Amino acid sequence: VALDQIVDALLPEWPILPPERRVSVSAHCVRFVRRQIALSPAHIRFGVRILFTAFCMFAFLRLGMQPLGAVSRERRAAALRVFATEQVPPFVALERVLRSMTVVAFLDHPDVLTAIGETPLPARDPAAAQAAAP
Amino acid sequence: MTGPIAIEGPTTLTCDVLVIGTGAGGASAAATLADAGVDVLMLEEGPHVPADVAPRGLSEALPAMWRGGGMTATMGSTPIAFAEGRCVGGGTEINSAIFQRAPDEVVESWARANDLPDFSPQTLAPLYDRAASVVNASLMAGPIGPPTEILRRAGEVMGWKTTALERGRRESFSPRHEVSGFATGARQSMSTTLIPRALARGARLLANCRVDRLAVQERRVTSAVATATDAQGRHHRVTVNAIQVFLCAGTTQTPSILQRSAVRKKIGRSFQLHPTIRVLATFPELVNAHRHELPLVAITEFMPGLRFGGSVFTLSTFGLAAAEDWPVRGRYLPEYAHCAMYYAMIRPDGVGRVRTVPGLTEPILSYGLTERDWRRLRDGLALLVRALLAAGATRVIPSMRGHPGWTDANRVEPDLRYGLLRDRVALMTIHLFGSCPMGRNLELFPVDPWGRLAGFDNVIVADGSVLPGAPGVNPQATIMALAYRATDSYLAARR
Repeated sequence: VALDQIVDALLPEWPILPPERRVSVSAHCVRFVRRQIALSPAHIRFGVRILFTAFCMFAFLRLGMQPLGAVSRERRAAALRVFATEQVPPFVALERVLRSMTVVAFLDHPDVLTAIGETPLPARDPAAAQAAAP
Repeated sequence: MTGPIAIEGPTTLTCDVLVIGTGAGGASAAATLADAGVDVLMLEEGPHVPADVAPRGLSEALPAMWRGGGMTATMGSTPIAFAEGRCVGGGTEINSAIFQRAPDEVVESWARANDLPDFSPQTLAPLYDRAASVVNASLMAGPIGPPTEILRRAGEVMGWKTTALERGRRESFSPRHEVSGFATGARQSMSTTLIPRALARGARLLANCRVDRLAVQERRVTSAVATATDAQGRHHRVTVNAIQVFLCAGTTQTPSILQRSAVRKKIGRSFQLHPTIRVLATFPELVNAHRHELPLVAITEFMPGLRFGGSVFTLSTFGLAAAEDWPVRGRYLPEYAHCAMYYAMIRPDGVGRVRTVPGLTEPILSYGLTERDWRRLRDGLALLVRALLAAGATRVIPSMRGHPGWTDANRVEPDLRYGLLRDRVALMTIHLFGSCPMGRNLELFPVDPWGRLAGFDNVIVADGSVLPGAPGVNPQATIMALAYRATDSYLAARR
């Protein structure tokens, strides 16, 4: 749940999406980030999990003993940004990994492309898409 | 194309020649062998992704076609993000399909350093020609687009040599497909060229099948023990008995397979890559890089040690670059139509290692740059930034966390007088090679000049791992040429 809340907080503020679109885009990004972490090599996956646990503890203290879900998106994102500016390279790497994957999924989403005036590629046959999935 | 064969339970297969891996090396070897009438079986760890269902964005391509979902990096004081293909066709499915021959002086230096007989620009030329013909390596006619023109102008303004780049193509294509497997089939990758050719000549292909180890008996590999994954995600043990093995699993996986098979002498100890630093450049005019091909020109004035080129630009690759340092670069997201990405790539002295750790599926890669490499990267960055500003960029932002970018060329040298900030720089590469280099002295090198694995009578290595060093250019053409060399030599001996 904490990962979902952080991915949601990392969605770019541009373009501004209608609330219902934002919810579906956020869910898409969360699925993508989760899948990417699952696919990453074990030593990287292990590192991400350890660092994310460390971040959750840091955020809990930073946010006045409140869980991530109890504060606004802006405060969640700010907590991660502060965590990443602690000058500890792995902390920086965690923020970069989560944000990179979130932004890639965000900018590939048809609703986002439509919102900025780009033409999304036509949807693919779901059966064919499933066949191509790893 | 005949599809891959399906596995639905524990299976034993037999073939004359087993080719492990279907990237540039494996496909070149398999097609050459199949052309000669040899019974060939190709094993590929990743999935077969036909062009009609190819991913159409980076977010689809990463999980489907890239090793580790693209979340791969070397270990070391400065991690280097790297990309490898993991699908039928290997790296040729995800690279930019640029076709470049290794410079003559590099080939000659390899021949001298590793004592390679019959190895010169002249002897490799026909092999390169074969590879070029397969992928239809060609220059694009007519205007290519602003990202190319900017780099060409940058070279001209500075008085530097620029070179137009050949690309493996059949038609023009949308850059939206460049990172996602070319749904149009325009990319002349291995899955659209040599693999269908091999299959048409009777070769067999088993995708989603990872080789766990090779069974060794004295000086021979008798079989490969692998795990195949079926359409339902179930795993099945597959044993492949073969007379001859071509090991073409790529620079990270070939040494890993050998190490898992208890073959360790000199394996994975001289791994190399092309360290690359990217810059994001903004321009007052519309560039619309996402609607044009990646820059098909390179600044080659400082080759082979240093080369400047352009990166694939889509909204998602731009987003990746912005996410490296969001507080600085995130604000440029709405200005994507005015941006383009370029890079400085060096031919390094540093080496790394590929280590297989029991219990881990993927090997651990370590890599370290030498002081000379750091200086060369710093010099490359400074020159590239000055050239882009001279070509009209309003700001050039390096891949260094916290750096706001340069708007004034006179500030570049003073700002970099102490070198790059090593804990802030983000390096990347898509070129990996040299983990099992070829050489005449088998006390020093694990593979002989024709790709034969030291200590074995029936194993040939034919992929990026045998490159004697860094070519300074995209290695695909050289990998194909050396795979042809090894396969021709094998066929000649077999006759």
